[in-house]
Amino acid sequence: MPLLNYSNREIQFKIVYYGPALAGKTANLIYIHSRIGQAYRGDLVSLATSADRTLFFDLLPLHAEILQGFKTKFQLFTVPGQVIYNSTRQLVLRNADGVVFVADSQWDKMEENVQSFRNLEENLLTQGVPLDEFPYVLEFNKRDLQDIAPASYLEYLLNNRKRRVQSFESMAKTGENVFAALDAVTQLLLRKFDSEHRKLRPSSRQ
Amino acid sequence: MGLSDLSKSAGTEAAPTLQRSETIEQAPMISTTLAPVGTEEPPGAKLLSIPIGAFYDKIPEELLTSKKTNPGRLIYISSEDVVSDEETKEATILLSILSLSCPEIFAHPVENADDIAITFPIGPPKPEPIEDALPADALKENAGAEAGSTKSDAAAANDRIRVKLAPILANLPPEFELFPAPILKDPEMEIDLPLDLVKSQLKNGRIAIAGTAFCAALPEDLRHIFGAIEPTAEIPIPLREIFRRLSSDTIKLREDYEIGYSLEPIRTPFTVHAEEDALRYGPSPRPSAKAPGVSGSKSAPEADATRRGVASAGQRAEKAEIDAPPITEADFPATFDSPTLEALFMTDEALDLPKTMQKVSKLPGLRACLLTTTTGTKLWGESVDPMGEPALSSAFPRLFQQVTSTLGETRSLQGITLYFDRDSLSIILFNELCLVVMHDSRPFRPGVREKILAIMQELDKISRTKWRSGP
Repeated sequence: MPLLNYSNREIQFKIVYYGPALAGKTANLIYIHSRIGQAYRGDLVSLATSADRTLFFDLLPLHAEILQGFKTKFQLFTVPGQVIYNSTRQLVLRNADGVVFVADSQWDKMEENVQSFRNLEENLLTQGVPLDEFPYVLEFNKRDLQDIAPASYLEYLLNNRKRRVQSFESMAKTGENVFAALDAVTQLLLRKFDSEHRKLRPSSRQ
Repeated sequence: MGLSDLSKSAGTEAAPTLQRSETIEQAPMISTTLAPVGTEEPPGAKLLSIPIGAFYDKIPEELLTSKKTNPGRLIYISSEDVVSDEETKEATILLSILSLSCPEIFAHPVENADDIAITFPIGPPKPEPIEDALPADALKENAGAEAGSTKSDAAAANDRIRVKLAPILANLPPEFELFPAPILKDPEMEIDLPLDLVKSQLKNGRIAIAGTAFCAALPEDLRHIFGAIEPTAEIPIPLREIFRRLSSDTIKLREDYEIGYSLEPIRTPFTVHAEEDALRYGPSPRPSAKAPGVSGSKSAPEADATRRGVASAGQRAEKAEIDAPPITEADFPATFDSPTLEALFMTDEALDLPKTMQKVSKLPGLRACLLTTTTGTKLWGESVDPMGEPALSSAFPRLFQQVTSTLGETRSLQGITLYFDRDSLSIILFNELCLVVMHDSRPFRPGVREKILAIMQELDKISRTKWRSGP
């Protein structure tokens, strides 16, 4: 549920980039940060180890005005992918409005993808949110590498559910389909928000 | 966290068994292999792999989720968090550590008050649990494999999958120290594995078979090398080898699905960027699934249209010369009604030509811009060198067209960047419009060129509205 502040006329959406370690979650945020004009974004806050592994989370605040009269903020978070940091993931996932699940396409990362996806489902469930009712999209990252599984297998592993979600083959380092995935999850959020708050309509120009 | 300061011990915990045994798929393993495994931990740190079934019954029932659990699933715990007693063949771990390692079996996170030590056996494996680590389907298959003599060879061939042995040996985890190291006479040597065993594990993203099943599949001359491997040990089979021989039907997606998103796209603050990237990388944001309506960006058709507009700019320019009068500044309305431009600049401000060009010149990495027609008529903007501006205005469009025609086949040429002493500038042509931008230090930053192309396309559209709709 997005944070809605009527007095400040501000809506805040929280989008979490989730996935196994080294799948490219932070790379997604770095690319988004590089593409959004300075006036519309905050600093990319990253708590990483010396080996560039996300220690706690990354945060990228973005601003726009998409709902008439309301300042809309998007807070993009990443979680640490390492198995042992589940408490941090639970904390970051709390009150998330949507998730971009970043899977690693390399053959030897398939099990980690599955475990991380199950972990996402479990962590959402601890908040009382079933995954099938939650807005999320899939990003199959590192498609530029050689030793990768076919997208159809990643679909089979991660998207073979009753509710099938959008999925994107991406290359976060170069930015391919990074915004496509963000755009897709944002659409899900806006639709959900609109259906929950009929009074607030998206800008008539849209 | 160490275990030395524990005040409570789980050794005395009553292990509820009757009800819980119904919630797990198979009986938990009663023995555990504690073996270092390769993980993402820094070098030097050891992780131990432990099947969930080894300690499942020791966890207080009220902390467990009611969902089914696979007792054979391995979890990985740092050796520093485990106290093992070689004499009693038991290991002790804090419950909070377990809850972090396999949160899926817990109904809720373990609070400090609930944190206790869990003790469980780690003795040598009994012969029976060999198959416990395998899924139920696999058990059947293994049983079938052993009773293979009752099946015909043809039927058995259909039930099995052939994989190369060399990649399996190359991918053996480090704990399998084989002596002597196996040498394959034929590097292309293949072994037969039970197909159902493979299929049943595909959804886990990992294929592994029990040591005994692996040994049984090996040629006679290699079996003795693997004889020392524990029967319960899991031999990983590289997925890529499996997929070389696996039929694509095996990973069919369910057909009774519902599409989890709307097929009518709406624009978001990120749509423009997605379109720009689509322009940059290809015809559309690359969806992963081939089935129509299954996946992919819904903005793909728009992105496609944008790309087509750019790719055929040269062709359109020829047509424009015939169909339309030359563009002048008067062709642009005093105020644009262009949601596209507003979205591109992420602004609600009403835009006109000067404001648009000012915003272009403030894009990252640019310091000035000049918009002209292809005949050299200045529409708006300023170059850094006002004295040389008239020359630039007329020379660059002609230069661009000359290059385009000389290259002939390169119809998708979108811009040219020229380098001077310390300066560089780029010329971008779109139908009758020509934009010259001065760079501040280096060529286009990521996404800026695509944004300019989208702006040019929109400006072209705006400039044509007047004569299209008539006086």
